[in-house]
Amino acid sequence: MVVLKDNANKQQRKQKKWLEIKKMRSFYLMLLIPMLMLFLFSYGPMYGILIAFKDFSPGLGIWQSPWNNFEHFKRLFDDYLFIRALKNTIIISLLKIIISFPAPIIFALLLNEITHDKFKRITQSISYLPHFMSWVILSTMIVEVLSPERGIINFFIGLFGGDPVHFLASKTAFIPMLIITDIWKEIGYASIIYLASMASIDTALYEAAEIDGANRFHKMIYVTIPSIMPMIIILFILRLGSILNAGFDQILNLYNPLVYEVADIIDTYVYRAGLEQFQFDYATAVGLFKNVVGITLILVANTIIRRRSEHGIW
Amino acid sequence: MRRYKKLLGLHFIIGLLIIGIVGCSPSESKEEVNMEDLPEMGDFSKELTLHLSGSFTQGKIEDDNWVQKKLEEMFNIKIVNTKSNTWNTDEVSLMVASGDVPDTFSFTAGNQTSKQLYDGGVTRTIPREMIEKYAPLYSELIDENVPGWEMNLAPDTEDQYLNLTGYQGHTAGILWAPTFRLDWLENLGIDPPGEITPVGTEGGLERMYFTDGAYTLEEVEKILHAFTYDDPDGNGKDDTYGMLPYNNQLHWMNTLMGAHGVAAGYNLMENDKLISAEISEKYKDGLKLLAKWQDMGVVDPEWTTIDVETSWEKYKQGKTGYFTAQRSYIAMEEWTKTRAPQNLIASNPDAKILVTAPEIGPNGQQGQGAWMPVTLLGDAFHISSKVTDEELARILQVFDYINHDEDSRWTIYGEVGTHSEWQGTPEESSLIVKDEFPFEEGNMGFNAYNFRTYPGERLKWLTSEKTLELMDKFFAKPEVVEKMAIRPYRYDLFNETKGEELTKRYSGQLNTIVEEFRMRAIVGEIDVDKEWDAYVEKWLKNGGEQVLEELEKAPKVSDLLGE
Repeated sequence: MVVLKDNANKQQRKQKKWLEIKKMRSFYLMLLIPMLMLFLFSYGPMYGILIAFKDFSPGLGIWQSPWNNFEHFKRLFDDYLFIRALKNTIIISLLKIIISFPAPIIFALLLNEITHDKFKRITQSISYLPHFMSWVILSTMIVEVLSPERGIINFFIGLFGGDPVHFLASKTAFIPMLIITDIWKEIGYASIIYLASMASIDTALYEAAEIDGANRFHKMIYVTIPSIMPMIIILFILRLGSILNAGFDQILNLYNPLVYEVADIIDTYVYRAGLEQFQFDYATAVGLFKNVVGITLILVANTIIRRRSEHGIW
Repeated sequence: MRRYKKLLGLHFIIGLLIIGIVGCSPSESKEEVNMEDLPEMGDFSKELTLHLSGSFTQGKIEDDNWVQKKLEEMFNIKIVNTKSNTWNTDEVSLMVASGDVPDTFSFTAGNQTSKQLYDGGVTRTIPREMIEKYAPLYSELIDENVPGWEMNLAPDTEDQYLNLTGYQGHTAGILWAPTFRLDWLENLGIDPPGEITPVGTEGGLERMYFTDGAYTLEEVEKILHAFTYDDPDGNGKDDTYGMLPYNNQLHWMNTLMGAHGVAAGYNLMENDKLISAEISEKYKDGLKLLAKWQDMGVVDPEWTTIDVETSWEKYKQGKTGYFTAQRSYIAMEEWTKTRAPQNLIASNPDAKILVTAPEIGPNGQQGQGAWMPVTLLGDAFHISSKVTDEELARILQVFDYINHDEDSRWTIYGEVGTHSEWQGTPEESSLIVKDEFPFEEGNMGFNAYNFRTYPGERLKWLTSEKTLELMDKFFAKPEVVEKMAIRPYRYDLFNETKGEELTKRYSGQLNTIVEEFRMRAIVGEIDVDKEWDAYVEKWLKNGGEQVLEELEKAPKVSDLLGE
């Protein structure tokens, strides 16, 4: 008797679900398109990861190419140039996280304080511009600006009696130059998300702070920053995930053998040693290695932050 | 329900694997061909669709272009154009990785060899029987040029070829020469070596002087010093440099290294040992001299961060007095007009250039690396593994016509008079496509399906009278070539070793080691003498040893030339 009742309930629940699905069918249909896209372009190609474990031959195809006993991964760690590139990648990436990551936050906070609307809009527009130019174009400009002969920077150094500095050929100047140009390119565009986040802060909070005697600086510290903290944390965790992406386009367009020692990152080395030599399998192994490190960092950072606060990606 | 879900999942995975396997399976081997099943030469009764591409394909082709329509009609084919840029490494990589190559191709970008492409299943072999039947003009070329049919044989075969090869007539002789600002030399009171004569009488050529005499490296050093410190342009400012190299190519050091008896990229015997040029004592001496010049301040310090195009631009500003140039630049060929030193002649009416023979080194050595290590047969036109024998028969006939039959001149230059003009004497000078038509591809389709091969008259269409004159006078004179063309000691002309595989595996590491050392040595960051042994050891330990070991199995170039 109980079994029959259970079955009837199940049947009812199923019917109810089906009715709900039917009612929302247009939404489900709409969902189908992105799902399909995700499957085709994000999950489908993951099959190609297999070549990281094979001696890939385009004619034989992915499946028929022979397995190679993790040879590409062994090669990675046997190659002292790869180890150097890994070290450089982590250093450059960490420096970018420490210096470049807070820059748009500070910029957004400062912009938020500007009351003159026209000035604010012009500043924002100018700061966005470099983001829309590729590193190929920007690097040409940077080479000119930093030229020891014609560059404006060296012109000013010369005015003050200094000797010209060849920034792009100097191991000590190259990394700071990378960080500065990276900030210059992305600061405006990256600040948009924080500005949007600030726009959604309840104005009552500011009014309350004002009644409590807070000045503009206090309001920034005690209202604005805590309000945008969840956004900062999410973006920080995601940024950690790409720690092994230190800026391929930027470095490839600006570096030269004189600065390989500090600037040759995994991507540039693999581009020269892997892709230019048609070693797709080796390049895939490196890509996989980078992704595993990235996802591990995201998981670890998210777990730590979740344990210590209520924020996190999930 | 759970079972159904499991079954569905299993089917899904199997489906994926099948798609992968089928999508990437290699095509059947093409080594057996039954000639009787194939149409006769000139029998174009059946229409075929061919995906064509050539040496010059850069994705700028427009469908139904002028050449395409004429070829389609002549050979009863439907041409599918290749819209990818075969000069772009990324695009080429993508095509090769996906196996989605056109039926015919000759990639400019990427350095995969014919054997690698064949081993990877990307290309098919071409039976000699078919070549002889359907490409008689090409066969004749191969018959006449050593080592002819011995080259490009597929592994373990005697009559199957990995590619169709070209005749690189334009690389005959030596290509490079040092050039000096003659007006500066005159201002400084420095005499040219030997007797100088202008290359031509008009169009700037009257200000371009050539001598087969040469300065010694010591004399060059003095000139570079004077160019830098003695105000050669007389403007009262310290704003000139002796020389301006660039960081993305090595042409600028060709003749300077040649004066030390070494050519970058080649191998040589030193102290009874086969070594690569980059770890030889001769190369080390060359680096030390360049480091000395950099230290003297006669080299524009910006060279480490600029490429060759930027250095041409800087040269045009008149701030540098020495530049290495190809003989065609000296003859001021149309396609070299943005390059140094021609760009300066065009922009500065007072500039005069002196071109000399390569500099003379400490042991009387002068020269440069030969463009082709052994023979003038070179470059590779590949046939995709998807091409059937019937399609190959038609492709060979198209190939033979557009690359070897002189009547096919229109595929490169259109109708002479309508689309192009002779630069000088008709039939004796180079052909120039008129400005209103695209030089390559576009709506005309010039060069869209051609291969880089210059046998017979084709060299004249490509090369100006003045370049040909310079070749006769000096650059391609047999005694000059014999004395000055530096060739490798051993070379794997017949793909007999595993050198290619090893190079592919180690070149990333080895190139990085060499590039880094070269630049740091020249700019004086390191002491060449002190660091040399560690550098050689590092080179050998990171794959160099294996590469050299394999190279020992390759024939000697002197034997190949003798044969």
